[in-house]
Amino acid sequence: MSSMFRRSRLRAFAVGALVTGIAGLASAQTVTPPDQDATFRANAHQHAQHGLPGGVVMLHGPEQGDDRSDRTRTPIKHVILLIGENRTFDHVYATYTPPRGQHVRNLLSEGVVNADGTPGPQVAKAQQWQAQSTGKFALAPQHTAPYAMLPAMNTGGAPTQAPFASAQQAQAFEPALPDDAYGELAAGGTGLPNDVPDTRFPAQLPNAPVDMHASLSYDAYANSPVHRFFQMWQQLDCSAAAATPGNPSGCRNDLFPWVETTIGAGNDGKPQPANFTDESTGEGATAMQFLNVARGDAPYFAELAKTYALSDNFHQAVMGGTGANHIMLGYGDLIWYADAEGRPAVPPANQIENPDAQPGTNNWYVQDGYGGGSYVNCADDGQPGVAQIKNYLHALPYDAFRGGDCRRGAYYLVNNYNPGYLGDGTPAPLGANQFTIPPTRQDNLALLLSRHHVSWKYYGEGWDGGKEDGEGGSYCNICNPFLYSEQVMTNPKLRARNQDINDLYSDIRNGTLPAVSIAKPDGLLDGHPASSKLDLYEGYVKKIVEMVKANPKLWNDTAIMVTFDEGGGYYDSGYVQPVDFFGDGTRIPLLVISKYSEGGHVVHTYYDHVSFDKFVEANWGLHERISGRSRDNLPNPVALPDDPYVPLNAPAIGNLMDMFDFRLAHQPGHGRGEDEALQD
Amino acid sequence: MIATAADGTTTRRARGPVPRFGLCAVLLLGAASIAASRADPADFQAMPGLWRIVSRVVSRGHAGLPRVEWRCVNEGDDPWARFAALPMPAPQCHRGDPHRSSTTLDWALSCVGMPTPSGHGRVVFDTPEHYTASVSLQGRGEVLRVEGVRRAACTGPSD
Repeated sequence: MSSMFRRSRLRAFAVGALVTGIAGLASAQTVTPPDQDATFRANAHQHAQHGLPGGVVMLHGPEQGDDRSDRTRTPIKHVILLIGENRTFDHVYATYTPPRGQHVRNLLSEGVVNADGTPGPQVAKAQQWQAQSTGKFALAPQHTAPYAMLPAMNTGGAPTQAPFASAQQAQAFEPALPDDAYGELAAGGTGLPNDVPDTRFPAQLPNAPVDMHASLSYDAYANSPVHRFFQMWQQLDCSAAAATPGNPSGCRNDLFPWVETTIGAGNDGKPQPANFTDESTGEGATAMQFLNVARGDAPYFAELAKTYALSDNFHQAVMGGTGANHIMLGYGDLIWYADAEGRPAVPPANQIENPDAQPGTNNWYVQDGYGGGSYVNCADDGQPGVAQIKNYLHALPYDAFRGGDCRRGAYYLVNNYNPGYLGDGTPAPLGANQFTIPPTRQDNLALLLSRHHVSWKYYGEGWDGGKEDGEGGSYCNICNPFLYSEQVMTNPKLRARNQDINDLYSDIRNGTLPAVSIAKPDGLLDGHPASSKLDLYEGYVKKIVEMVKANPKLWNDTAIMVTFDEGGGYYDSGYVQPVDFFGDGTRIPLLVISKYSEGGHVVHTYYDHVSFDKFVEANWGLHERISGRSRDNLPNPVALPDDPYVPLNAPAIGNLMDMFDFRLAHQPGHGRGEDEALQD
Repeated sequence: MIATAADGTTTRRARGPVPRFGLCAVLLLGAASIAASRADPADFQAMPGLWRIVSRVVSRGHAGLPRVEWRCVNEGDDPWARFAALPMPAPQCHRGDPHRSSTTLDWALSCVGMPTPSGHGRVVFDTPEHYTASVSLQGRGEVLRVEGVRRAACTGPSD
């Protein structure tokens, strides 16, 4: 079947190339031409060689020194990437209806749910299964039976009380919300203990996505599902035997509650507790929860989607959680355990993943957890869990990136460990009990930008000059990809580009924003379920968007990209394209807010986090990738008009140019034909 | 989770408002165990993160060589377990009579069969990012001195 399928895929590729070659005027929102980015890059290179501002090269203001931040290929001179936490596309936009003429792929459009949140006529598409996995790790465990009813919701770590007693107290503490939003930090506690059945939800839940709006206020705190590497691979339940033309990766997305209730967020190598039940991991079927924008949830994100551009095919780049996905954003690759010379080394034994089932259990891993295994030597098929993923990749109807290989002898970090540096530049303590990855010398986006004299900053709320103690110590250290980097953290000039939220506000107000900004809220506002809420992340975003729009000069040439680090383990129905050993994982939202992204377009081009790196490289004409192993080497997707979601030239990720329409830019001598070359 | 400071301390770059510690009901302190009362969840002012903790044995008023330990303190951790789990002067010593305020932890020591049968331990936070601790025995004075400084953020199981 595999070879037959491969032939049909190649045929489709040829047809796709022909169609897009002829129909060059087809909408870039629905058709992705055969790697037009190559043409674009070639053109850009030519312009750059001559150093002239003609064609698509545009200068705004004189260059200072050898700073090349103004030398862009589009009108965008500044990009600000805002990264929230832990929401899939369907979790946020399940019932979103776009403006007329646009189509979105979500639970509502697929008929899985109705606009009122109840199960829809195609609810079987989201059916969740129970399974059996004993012994060696199973990537696609043997299904046993579908759930008759979902496991009951559990409160997990959701807070009983809101973190502040009043809006006034919250406002005195937290700087990053609009004035009228502080009440959200003083409301929404569950009123329930941790790790008990969440009685706010019905005890009997049908086997279907669960509308949170029917049970909770949008402003209520709720539980957080598991979002770890091997767990997410299992939840997606990918098998080449299940591949179809519309779903060539064969990922079925049908084991979300089963993984939650069998292993949850890991066990640090401990034995399975006695009297283990579906509630023992503190999750139940939390993964199946979704917000209902059709009934008023996520109002600001719905408004942004209707006003600007929304992607319904943007993916977390790595299966699992926060640290690995931020690292992939920064490096286009994952980083490994290194010795003092930066060479691959073997981590302490208790920090190596082993997702095989403990004897006598159903999917209770041998070693996995925050205080347990998080490294994988994925070049070695003899390591637990490795061969299963690589065999699957090899069976796909396309060749994985670099053949799905990993660096020989390298133990990659696939879950959350502390970065190699403290904020003040001190190397972090290491050891079997520290759960900290040593400093890395692997190449990253900051180094690439610095080499090319393109300015950048990372604004992490709570940074406080490197003490990481602002806002009560809620700075996210694992979210800053450059805290892992020896070259950045031992160079005072580069280290100083790590800044705080008030620095971002100052730079916006004063017109001193760098070319490339990445901004991260603190733990209160990042939208992470249990410790935060989505409305708080909406507030964080709104304050920044309004501040940029209040500066007309900046608004004229700035793009704000709003996304998440990962889906948090929530269910999503979208297509997943496995790129390499590490992912992609589920879809997550991406909004692009700029003068060149207006109209409520829904963009279907395939993207993941590394698409941001590709955008930066394309926009600033860098002609260089982060490294030879980084995913920014992947081509832009080619897709057919009737299925823009699935790249025919997989693995492929776009460069986000489709999120813009630069025909809106009225620049003298700025021909339309050249603009079209900027689409991905 | 950030809790409201008991003293109402609220600054924009806040150090005062504190994480909500103390949700554990029963503690194990070192080798000896005591049952502690359920802590008030909103009153202990220490910041989560990575702490550098330096301990020195004190003999006749002279502090010995430092022993350095790094410890990740997470939201929701029990301050008794995180900051007061100090080594016992002797195996036959037991802890008891725990008292806690928003910035201090105090306990008594009883050491059956020893020449100095009683003592006490104390942890004092002067800021949410710094504390000192000591263990003293009756007749011998201070036998252990500890200083802890929060140095950075730290990831935890809830991330």
